Amino acid sequence: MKPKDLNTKEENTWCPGCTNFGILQATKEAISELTNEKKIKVKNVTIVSGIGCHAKIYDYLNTNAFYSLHGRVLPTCFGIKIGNPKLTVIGFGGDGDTYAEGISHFIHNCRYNLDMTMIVHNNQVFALTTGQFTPTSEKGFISASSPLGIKESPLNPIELALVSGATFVARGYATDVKHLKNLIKEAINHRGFSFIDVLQPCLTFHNALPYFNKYIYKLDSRYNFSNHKIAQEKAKEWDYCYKDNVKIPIGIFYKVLKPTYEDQWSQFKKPWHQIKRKINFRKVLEEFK
Amino acid sequence: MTPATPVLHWLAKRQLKYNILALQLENEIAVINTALGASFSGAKTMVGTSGGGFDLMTEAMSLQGMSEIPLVVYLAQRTGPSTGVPTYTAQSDLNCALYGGHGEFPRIVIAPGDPKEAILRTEEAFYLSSKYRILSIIVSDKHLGESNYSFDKIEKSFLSPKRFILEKPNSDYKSYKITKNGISPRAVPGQGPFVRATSYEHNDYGYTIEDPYWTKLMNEKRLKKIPYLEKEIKKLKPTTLYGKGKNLIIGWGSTKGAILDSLPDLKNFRFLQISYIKPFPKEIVKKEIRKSKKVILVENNATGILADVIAEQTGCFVKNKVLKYDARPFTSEDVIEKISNF
Repeated sequence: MKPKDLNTKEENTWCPGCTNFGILQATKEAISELTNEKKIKVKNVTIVSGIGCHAKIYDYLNTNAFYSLHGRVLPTCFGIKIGNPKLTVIGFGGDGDTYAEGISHFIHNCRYNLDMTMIVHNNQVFALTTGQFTPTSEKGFISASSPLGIKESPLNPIELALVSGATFVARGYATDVKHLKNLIKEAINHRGFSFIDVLQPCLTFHNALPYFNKYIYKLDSRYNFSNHKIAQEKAKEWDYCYKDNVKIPIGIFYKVLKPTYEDQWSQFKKPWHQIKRKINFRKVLEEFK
Repeated sequence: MTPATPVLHWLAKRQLKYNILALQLENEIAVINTALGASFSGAKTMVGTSGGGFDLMTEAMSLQGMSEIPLVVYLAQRTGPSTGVPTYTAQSDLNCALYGGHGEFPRIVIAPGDPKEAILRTEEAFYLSSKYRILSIIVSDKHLGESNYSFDKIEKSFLSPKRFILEKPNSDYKSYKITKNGISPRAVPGQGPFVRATSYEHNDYGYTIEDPYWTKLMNEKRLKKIPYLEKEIKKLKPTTLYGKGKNLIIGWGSTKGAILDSLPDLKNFRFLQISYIKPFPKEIVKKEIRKSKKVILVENNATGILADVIAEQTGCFVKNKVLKYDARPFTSEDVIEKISNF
């Protein structure tokens, strides 16, 4: 199959030149390549989105799809996967969506290690609602809701994912489609909870494109992603604030194989809807006698 | 959340024996969104909670309304408002069950009166939720949910345990197909054709829309189910009449036991137990009220919530109310004493 086979006929309402197009393209390429490599079946691919600019991807990807609530991408993904463990579940969230409203689900899903992928379109701003700060906005950010500049320091989701127990932690850059495509492929292939924080500058409300282009670099083969301590140090290299002369690493920070959530429950043998049951009321009630 | 937990404990202990999954997650919001996700991919799901936990879940109940993913909710009431008297009983959350969640969408609210009825009504909740792709709420309380009861035998339910999922959806499958009764045939991911579920207003394929045509059509599609539901619950004995007499006691839920025990000592009283609060069996209730001399409502709350529901649904005002709101369940002595005052 080709990436364009995943197109829908829906009108795209992202701004012209929006960096979300990069994530959309990388996802389409990743899914089609994995399908061609027989790693996944496209009929099993199920995407979930939250609410925000990122979430419009629901209308632009021709797969099984669930347009869920703001902040609730992860529990929805979790449910879909435990409802049918054969599905390839990919969640798309925004930074406001995942790190503000849904932060508790993020921490717990890192811990659960269910086999699914979470891609966060991190533009460090609430863009759909015309520009308010989010938990990853840089200190001092002046937005519609913070005309005096925000006083608090941003959350570092890479660090948080690492300490919360995620088994695949990566950062991508929306405009580097090839690099991001490979990250998404690795994330889907990884057995366990895979998390990619994608730097996705919003050209309208938070244009950090020139900044990122200047300071982003790729983690190369010399980097050892199986060491948790090194990964934590690497995560600290950039604190999501826009200081000068920094280095912003992208790539896989950490990857390790651990038993997945579903591996540890014996009930996940086949999709629940295929299980035939014969209920013997009398037998169930016996134990109350 | 207490007092809904006994159901979780009972199921969790037997999950391997019956091949089910009983999960406790990080919070109520995760629980209900996970349940909707699992139902979307084909599992039969039920969530259980009480008071504040139910409040947290209402946003996702509204998502159920829009996405039309079957879901059963078990609500075990306790004494509110807020944390209230958390390990004691009340019937004060009926309005939460009837109206929780924003927007207009159909739902079922069932209130069993004892454990035997709870078993049969839970089956009905699943059946109706799967068939109509709607929200079913089973309303119980601490008194019913945590007490020990005995009963002799259970009749076999006549409901089919069908999942109402298409065997082989065709390639042009539409997740929200417009049909005569508003029920779009259900498929699940993995069967072949792509399946969609959404919190946004949508067209028949499930793609996001904002235009007046689809908005109106989809509202009508969802609400079209209501007359069919009203017809269907008539077959499910939505009310039960006990005893004989010119005067009428009306109640719902766990007060059933105390009222039934008090009937032999009350002269000329019969008891109408209402098990379906939504859709409301209005014709039966209206008829029974109209042919009675005295009508008395017995309810474990401070305002007589069911009286408001009856007024809204039938136009009949029940003014005589026997209410108990000290966090304790009714005893038959309570009922006899208070009813004798009227």
